[in-house]
Amino acid sequence: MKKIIIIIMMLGILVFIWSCKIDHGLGPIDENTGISGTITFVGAWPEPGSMMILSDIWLFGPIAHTEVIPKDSLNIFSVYEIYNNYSERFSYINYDSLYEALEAQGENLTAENCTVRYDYEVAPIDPGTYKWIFFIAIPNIGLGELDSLHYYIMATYYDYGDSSEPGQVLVEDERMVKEINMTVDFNVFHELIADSKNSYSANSDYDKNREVRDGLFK
Amino acid sequence: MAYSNKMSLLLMVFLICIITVSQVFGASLQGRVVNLDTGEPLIGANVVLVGTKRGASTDLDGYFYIPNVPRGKYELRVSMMGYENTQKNIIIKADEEVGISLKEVSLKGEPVIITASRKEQKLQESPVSVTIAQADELTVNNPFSAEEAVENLAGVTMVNQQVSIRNSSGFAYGTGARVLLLLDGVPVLAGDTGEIKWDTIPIQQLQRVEVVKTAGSALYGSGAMGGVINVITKKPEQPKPTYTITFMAGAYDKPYYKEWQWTDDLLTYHHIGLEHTRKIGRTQLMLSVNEKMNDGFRQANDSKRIQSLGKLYYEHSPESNLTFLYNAAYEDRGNWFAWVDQNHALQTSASRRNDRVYSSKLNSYVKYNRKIFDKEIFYTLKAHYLYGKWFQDFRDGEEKDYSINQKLGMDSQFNLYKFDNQAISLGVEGFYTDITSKIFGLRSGLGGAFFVQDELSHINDWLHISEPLNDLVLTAGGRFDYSYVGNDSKWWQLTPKIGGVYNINNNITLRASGGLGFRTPTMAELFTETTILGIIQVQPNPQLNPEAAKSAEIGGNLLYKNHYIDMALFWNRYEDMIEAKANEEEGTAKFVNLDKARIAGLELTVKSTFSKITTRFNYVFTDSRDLTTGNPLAYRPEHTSTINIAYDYASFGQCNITYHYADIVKNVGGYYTNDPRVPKSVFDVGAMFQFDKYTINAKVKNLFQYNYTSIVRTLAPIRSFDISLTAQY
Repeated sequence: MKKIIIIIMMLGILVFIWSCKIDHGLGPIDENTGISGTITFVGAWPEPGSMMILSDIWLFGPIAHTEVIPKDSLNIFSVYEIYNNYSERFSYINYDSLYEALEAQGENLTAENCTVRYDYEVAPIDPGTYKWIFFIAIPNIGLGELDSLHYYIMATYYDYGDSSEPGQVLVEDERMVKEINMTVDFNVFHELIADSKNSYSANSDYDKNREVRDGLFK
Repeated sequence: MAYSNKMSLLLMVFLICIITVSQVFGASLQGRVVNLDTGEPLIGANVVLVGTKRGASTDLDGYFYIPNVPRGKYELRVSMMGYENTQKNIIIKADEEVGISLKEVSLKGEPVIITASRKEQKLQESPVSVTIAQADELTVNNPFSAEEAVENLAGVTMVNQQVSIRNSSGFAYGTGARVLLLLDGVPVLAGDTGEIKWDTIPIQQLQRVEVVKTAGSALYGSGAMGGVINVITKKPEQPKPTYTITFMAGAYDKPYYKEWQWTDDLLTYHHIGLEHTRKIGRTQLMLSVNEKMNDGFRQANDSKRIQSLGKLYYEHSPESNLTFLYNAAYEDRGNWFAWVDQNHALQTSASRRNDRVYSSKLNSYVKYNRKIFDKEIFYTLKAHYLYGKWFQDFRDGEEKDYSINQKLGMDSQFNLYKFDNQAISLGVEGFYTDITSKIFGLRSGLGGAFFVQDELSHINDWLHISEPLNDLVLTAGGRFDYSYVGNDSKWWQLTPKIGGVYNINNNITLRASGGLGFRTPTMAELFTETTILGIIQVQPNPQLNPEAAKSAEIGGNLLYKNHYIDMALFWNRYEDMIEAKANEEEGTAKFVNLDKARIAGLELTVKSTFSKITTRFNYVFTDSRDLTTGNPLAYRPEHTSTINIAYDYASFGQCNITYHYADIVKNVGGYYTNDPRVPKSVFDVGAMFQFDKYTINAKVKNLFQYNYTSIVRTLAPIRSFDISLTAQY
């Protein structure tokens, strides 16, 4: 009889714990579903008006076919290709305007040791697992040729410093995932940008972009 | 230190513990415990080798087994609720077997308490609700601090270190406690804020804690109107010099939500303690030093503590003895105030991250006990001194807040047992307080009191009647207090009380009590003038009146074999209750008197033992209300409950699971009232092993990573893991 009582008690405890459904109580409050973080720009900024438009964050996923984007994917994309298949969101930041605003705040953007932090927030987006989150730059060649623009990947989000492959980010509904931080090193791109001024051919830039990409993913 | 290095250190500690445990060998002791009259086996009897930490509980057939006992002479003690304790001298040469018979007795004789009536009495004779916890019960949960140990006691709740018994207190950063904390019967509330400094309370040196759950003003005066917690330290009784070493190490898990993670470092805590006891002639001595470090799970919430306790007991004769105790503590801690926002719940404002609080405390007492006139009068003379100093190191450019307070007190008490059927206690007390503080000003206060209590037993003889009042014990008494605070405020108060206990039979006891209580405002409540976070202006209120209460309680308990049930209904009606009142729109806060308030409810405690499983259940319901506005009082949950299930295994260990629940606080006092709140719902699990001279405790606190706020914008502890090793040589 006593053994039965003990078994019943133990079962009661298990049922009680199970009934609690592992509630975690209070959690972060998020009005939007999305990601946020800081992009740190390191190095001297290219001259204003020279060639760049900065883009906001680009997200790949969570749609299933983005899983096929391999580590060594081209980092040059057709605008239509991105619109139709991959991009969850992107928007432009006018490079000249940003440059002027930062200078007005007292930043010495031409200094080699210049460090500027830019806080961003991307929301709303669809919940799911994002495979690849990156920040791009666009050569300033005129909007009439958007479909042949070169999109340079300037920074990719890596999980906990693991640069072997892009970090995956789980975005839950009504949750803002914070601290998705990236670093843009302008020193890496100066030569590439200079070359881009003279050539708008995707094929001619391919190899250079590939070098950059390999540097990013090494 | 990097995460990986700290983890390696923890692994080393685990390995050391395991290696230590493996150094065990010896003979075994086994036997059977039965009922002396019926011969029936007794289940769950405690069998202990006195002077060691070795012991066992009897199984379903009354058998027990204690392995690995070093050969030698021992005193075997067998105890069980409802039976007379038995002691037996044994010599263990090889594997030994003994038979023990216990005599069934009335259970009202166990255990003895000293707090409820300021004299020794049996727990069952107390007219008020009392919880008692022995050292083993207090430390089995591996508490890092004293408040953690006390929080688990029935009827006690802790709101961010502010203790409350049956919701008597809310939260006011410790100020103005309605629970009086005694250390060996000596009050240790701070002279300026009237708060309990938990870092001064030693855990390892505790013998037991007694909690009196009704107004204690009639015996202890101001500060005890919500109850009394008496922390009783060990009496150094070891005949041989003894060293006890305690090492505890633990770490906080990462927060459940990634957004809340504010550092990549592993956040750890540890405690190192050393205690030495020895007997020199008639003098017994205990000295201990404890060092504690805690990274804190929140930003700016780290702490470093050093605490030392010394106790000297001199037995001049069987009739007289002298005790001296000092207890000193130093703390350096971060000054967490509130989170940045709910999405950064473990981070505080950047401007406050470097704020620190440094504090030193000393409390000491001398106590002289003497039995005179053929042991019919027991006389106690006590003198105590408290010193406290703290300063708050705000950010650069701000003037430091500081306070230095000293308190000197004396009391003299006579317990008279000269008259048949009567026990009379009477005494006088006096104290002087001196404060030098930036936020309280230069203040002094003094007070005095006289108290008397008469306990009548065997009422039949006294009234010259026959049955049925022979098991009725009546208590009546009162106290007169006078106090003066340095703003020319003078108060006096008479607080009578009456109570009775009736034992229907050996198993059922009924009790009832009633009386008045009072509390004078503390210096902090009267004079605090400061600004918190640069936005909340704390204003003084020298016009505060003392608060008064009428209190009543009826209750009873049933004790049957291994099952104990206690239930109490309580009612407290307050006048001029002192509460913190905040106004978020104006950015102000101050202490005010509430005209009328009520705290009423019920408490249920159940303890049962089934074979090797012991369950403890405590539930408290309270309706706490400002009767003028009809609003609930701040920081008083309506329902609180604790469930503990412990399983004794293999005669040398125990594992347990504890569940703590408190429902949502309806009133948080005026600030951040719209913040979301959730009930407290936390599981802890632990295990304890005893091998020879070693005791190992392991614990996981907040097992399921449940997040709740203890006060507004302050997250309660997240999941942590710790292990402790105690060795005695």
